[in-house]
Amino acid sequence: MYKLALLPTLALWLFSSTVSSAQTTAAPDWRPKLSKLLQSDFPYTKACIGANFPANNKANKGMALIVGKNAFMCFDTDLLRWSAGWTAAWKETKGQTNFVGYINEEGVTFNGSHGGHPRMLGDQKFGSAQIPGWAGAAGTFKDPRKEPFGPLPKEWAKWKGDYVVGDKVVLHYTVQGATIHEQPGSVEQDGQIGFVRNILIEKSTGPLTVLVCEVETAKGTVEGLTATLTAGDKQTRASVVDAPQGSRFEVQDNKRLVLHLPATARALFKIVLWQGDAAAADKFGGLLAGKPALVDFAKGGAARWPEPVVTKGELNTSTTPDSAYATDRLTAPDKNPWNRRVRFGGLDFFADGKRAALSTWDGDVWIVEGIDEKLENLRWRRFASGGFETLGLKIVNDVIYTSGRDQITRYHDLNKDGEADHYESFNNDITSSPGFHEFVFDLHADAAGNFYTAKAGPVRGGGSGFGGGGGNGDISAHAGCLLKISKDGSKLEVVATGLRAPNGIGVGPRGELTTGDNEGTWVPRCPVNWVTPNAFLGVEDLAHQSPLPAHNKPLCWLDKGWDNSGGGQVWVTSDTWGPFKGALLHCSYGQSSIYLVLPQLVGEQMQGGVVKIPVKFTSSAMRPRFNAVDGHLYNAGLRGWQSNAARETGLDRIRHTGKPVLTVSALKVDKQGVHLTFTQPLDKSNAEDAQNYTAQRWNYKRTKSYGSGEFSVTDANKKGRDNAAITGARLSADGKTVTLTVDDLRPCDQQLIRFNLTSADAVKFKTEVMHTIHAVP
Amino acid sequence: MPSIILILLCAVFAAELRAQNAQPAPGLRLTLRAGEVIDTRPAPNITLYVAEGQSASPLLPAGPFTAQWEGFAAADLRGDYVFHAIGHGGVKLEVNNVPVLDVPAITAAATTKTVRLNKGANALKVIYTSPAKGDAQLRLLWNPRPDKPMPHEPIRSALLSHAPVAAPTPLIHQGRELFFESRCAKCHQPSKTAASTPDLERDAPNLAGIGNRRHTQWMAQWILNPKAQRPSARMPALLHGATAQADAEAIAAYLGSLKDPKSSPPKPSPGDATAGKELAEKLHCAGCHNVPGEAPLEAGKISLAHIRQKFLAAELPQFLLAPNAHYAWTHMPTFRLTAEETSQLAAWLSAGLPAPAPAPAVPAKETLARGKHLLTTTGCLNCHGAPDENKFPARALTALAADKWTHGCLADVPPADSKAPRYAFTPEERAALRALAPAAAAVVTRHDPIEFAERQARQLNCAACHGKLEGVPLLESVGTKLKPEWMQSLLSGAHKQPARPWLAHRMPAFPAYATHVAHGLAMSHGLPPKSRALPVIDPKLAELGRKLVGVEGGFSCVACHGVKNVPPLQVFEAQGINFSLSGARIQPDYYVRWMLDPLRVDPQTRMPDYFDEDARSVLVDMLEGDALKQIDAVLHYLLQGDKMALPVMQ
Repeated sequence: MYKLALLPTLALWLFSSTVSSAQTTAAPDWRPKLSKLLQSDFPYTKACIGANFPANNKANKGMALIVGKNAFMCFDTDLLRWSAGWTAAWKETKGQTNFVGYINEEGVTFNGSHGGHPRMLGDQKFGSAQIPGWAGAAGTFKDPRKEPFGPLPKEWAKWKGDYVVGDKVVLHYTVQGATIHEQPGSVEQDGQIGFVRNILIEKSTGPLTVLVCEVETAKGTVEGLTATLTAGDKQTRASVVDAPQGSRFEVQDNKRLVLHLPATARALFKIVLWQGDAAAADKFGGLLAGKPALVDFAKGGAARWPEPVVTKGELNTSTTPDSAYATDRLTAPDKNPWNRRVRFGGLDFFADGKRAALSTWDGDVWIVEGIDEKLENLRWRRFASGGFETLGLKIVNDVIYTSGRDQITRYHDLNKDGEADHYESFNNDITSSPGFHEFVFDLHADAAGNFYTAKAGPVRGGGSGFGGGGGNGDISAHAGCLLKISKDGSKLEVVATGLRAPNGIGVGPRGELTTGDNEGTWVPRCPVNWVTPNAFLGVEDLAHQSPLPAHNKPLCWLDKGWDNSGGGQVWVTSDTWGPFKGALLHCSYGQSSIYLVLPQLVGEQMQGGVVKIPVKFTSSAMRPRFNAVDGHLYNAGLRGWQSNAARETGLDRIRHTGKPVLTVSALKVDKQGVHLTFTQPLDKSNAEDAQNYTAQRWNYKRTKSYGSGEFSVTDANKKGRDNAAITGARLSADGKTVTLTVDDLRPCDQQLIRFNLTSADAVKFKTEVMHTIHAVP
Repeated sequence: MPSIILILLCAVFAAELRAQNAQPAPGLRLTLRAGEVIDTRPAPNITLYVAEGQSASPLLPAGPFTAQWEGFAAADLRGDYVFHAIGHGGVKLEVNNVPVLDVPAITAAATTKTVRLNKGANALKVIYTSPAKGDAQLRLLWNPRPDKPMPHEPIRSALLSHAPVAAPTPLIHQGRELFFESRCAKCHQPSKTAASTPDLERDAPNLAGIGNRRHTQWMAQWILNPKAQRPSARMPALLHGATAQADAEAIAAYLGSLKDPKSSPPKPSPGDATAGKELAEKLHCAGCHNVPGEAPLEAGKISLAHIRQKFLAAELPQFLLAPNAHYAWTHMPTFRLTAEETSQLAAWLSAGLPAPAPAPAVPAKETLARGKHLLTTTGCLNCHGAPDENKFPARALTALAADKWTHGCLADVPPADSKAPRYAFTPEERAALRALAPAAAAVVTRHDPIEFAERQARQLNCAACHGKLEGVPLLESVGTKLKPEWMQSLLSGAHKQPARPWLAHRMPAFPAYATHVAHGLAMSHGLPPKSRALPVIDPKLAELGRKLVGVEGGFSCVACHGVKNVPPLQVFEAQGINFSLSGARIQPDYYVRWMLDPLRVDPQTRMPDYFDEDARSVLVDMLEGDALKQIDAVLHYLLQGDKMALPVMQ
């Protein structure tokens, strides 16, 4: 729909624009030498990007763009400013000049470091402080936001996304309602490098003021449409070419160079910016040649990754002891011609069920086709790149959406060549600070079409506490929140607060919201959270409310060996996936395990527990999804932090084999005892022998310490577990439900019941149920 | 001797009768027999190690012996188990009164068939007979999942219980302990032919140069009545009667004159008391001491209120630096403090305490002479080393008739004119010492490393930190986890860097105790005091191990574990031990169990679990995905120590 709305505008622009190639750049020869941690075949990398000046200049949602052979610019999509322009770092060795880099590889998605983010390398030529890139209606650049995170108010300016055509990028945003497309570039002549901003304003109804750059304590002069800022022996010069009539430069506060633009009909102009020794300033004029121009972005660009990576799946990589479930591996394209790291963070299926899209932590989107019974010919195409830690993916009407730290992105393949050309910012209201632990996890949609994602808290390097600035980041408005984005992308709201590291959420068929979390500060153990409206899920630093609301107790806690770092949840929507249709499944990222959730609603409080579905995954269990066409469960995962995952990434299918399932299917606690319902009738004498069951129980303390010890249920200060005496076991008439009599059955944070049973068909089995009792009704 | 044992057995029997309805006691009841001599004690596990030619207990003569463990093992679920005995000697095992193992002489190991255990307590009886030749060794393990290819594991102490008895150990042990703590043998020397033991070697503070270290006035008070200064002091009061005060002052005056001209204590540098307080919290001084500013005072903890009266100003930091410098067997450990840290602690300890009284006038020559005379003739030098010759004779231990242990030092009420040292023993303590009397000559000259380690761990108050402080392991598990050589070097203070540098707490050193405690801790788990020879490192396996711990194609262990001088990639939540240390630290059996299922070994660990209960690895394409083979490959890598090549760490 959005595409359709945009088309007339684009057509108008195409009709009237003059395309010039004055600023083409040859593919830089250093690209192949870039580390595999950085993008070598895509024009930008998104991250929080630091620059050398002005002081503390960080683009929280930065796009580090390659705009020439030796020219780089960073765009801040929150403030719509160019935070910096620079030339790369080079090193002379043995008479040869070798490329060192243009940003460093600091950061959790790059070199794995905790508490860092990339910063520019080389020689910074211009920069601006963390202020809006365009003045507001009042004509000032004063940051209007409540906190220095998140986007500018929509009426001030709004980021709409970008187009990628070859090595060109066209940015799309509005300023005070005026639609703007902007293409950065560079020009090199006489050993001088100019940074170029080609700007197309569709129509503005009032004057606009654009921030050009800032040079601290500079002497500024303006001569016509050229401005000069002098600081020491360095000069910064800017000129505007084809400026709308009435445009003028101004130097504000002896540092800030701005360009005032009158209300205008469609206008295409360019700003050229140069910095160098004052002695070379006379070469500046030579950088202004050529007309302003934008590439023909509405048509899309040529495919950059046309060749598919073909892999062969493996069937029956594991089976459950009852042989009811088997796993198959959909071998990931981690060996690929582009040397890209593949760490899946999002998964969903297209309507045909034969194709799936997967986003990676490293910002790519892959599409795999050939999902059939045998998995013999899996064809992977790289569909998109450049995302900011895209750890969630959802397909709606065959259109891909991802959640990243900067925005929900909607992808458009304009020329149907199998690659995205338009990276639309569907919603970028989310806040992001420089913290390394500001993951935006998972992406789901409810029946009404609203989207849900969860943002982690800015955990400090080392794992305890939150925020505090620097590379640990700050507690911004959406830190530790479950977020809802309206179907049209216009609105983002906080649904729940107090999460620490919810690497995975779930949205049920009736809009049920669930999350996992990771043990840590204020999280005594990993919970399965059943989210009620405006829930506070426990992390006091991230409650965003005062006074502190009551803790929304989880459906259950899970002990370390069961889950030390939660993954996503999924509701069983398949008719062919065994006896569990309508049930909830929960994944443990840390333990690479999947569990059947056994819920029990007591009054308004959900409680219950889990039983393991003992299958094995290629990597972690993180993004479980049902394929509506084949009815199988699929799981994508990565290994990026503490997990027992075998490989860096994996995609597996969990298939019901048709054999009968032998496990627990329901759990209920009441004054009669603990009722365990099984999928098959049990042997009566065996099931009614209390010696075949054992139970332990214990409590946790939710504190600002990392995790919690285990404490006696009967004596709050005594460490350790209590034995809960099981004194009787009674089997129901249908042979499927055992009622266990437990001495002094009472609420506890954790109860572990283990049993050693025999089915009516004489099959022996051992299982365990881990659960939480908030109330004994 | 037989009559004593009979009395002892009767007492035990009566005690058992009384205790039948009482709560079960932890561990099993161990009875050791050599000929007619019996010793009993509660045992936390079914393990034993006695070197050939040594005694299985201080009460037993060296030579053949039997050991019998009795009690209950708790199973949490009815199920089939297998028991597995490792060692040398004969083993009989009865479970729920049914014999399940009877091997007259195991040579390496013996395993039962599956044994059905009931949920709850299962009666257990193990009878071990020492081998005709070689070291006696037993480790009784079990496997709760014999259907799975998992290794046998020790039966956790918490699962063992027995019917309590009134006196779990014979009184004679308490007497022996008092005998050592009171340094009785320093006067009443055991037979010259008896081998020396660590307990007989234990010293008292050396008095040479003490004038450089202690205030004279404080020494006078201490000498007069040590218990008035510190209720737990073991030094007796030696001076009695009207002249005691003057005598004590004379001795102190003489000691004050014992100065080492070569040793000039550095000038006290003012330390930061606030930093000292923080440091004291990290070091957990409060585990043993009533620290400044903390009320109420806890009985049993050593007060620090007197330290300005006791230590000369510049001496306190020196003392903290090396508390064992003049007293090898001091209970006070060495904490690897820097000079700055010792001044911080000294500043914190001294803050708010009254200044010591001004030094007395230079004593008269006669006073010094009298002090020296008293020092050499009152018995001080039987315990304390000094430049002077001891002139105090005492009767040898063998010359003390057992029925006379009611006289002298052990008189219930010392006669007013008695010159005997006064230890202020309680009636119970005197009874314990008298119980020791008949067998003393033999019993105090036997060294049992297991008993020694258990006793010293108690005396040195290890439990003030182990089991109490976050990150400090339980003492009961270290002997099965760490190699004795590693424990020895750790306890002796030889480690330059702690294995866990990120912990605020520091494991202090107890150099004099190190070797014997390390041996005892290992032997208490049935492990020899010297590690088995290392397997020859297979370079191919080691290389596979290197791959397994690395990022590329491995478990990415290096995310949390550093390797040599390279820090871990991204420590989050919990750091792991540097791999270059692991080979030297960890007992191989423990290592395998740990790797297979870390949470089973330590329920609080954050080490992930990479292998399932079928001993299958998540990495299926290396070494057939066989967990045990992969774990072995990693072991070959780890055993290289600091010679290991770095794994892929990015």
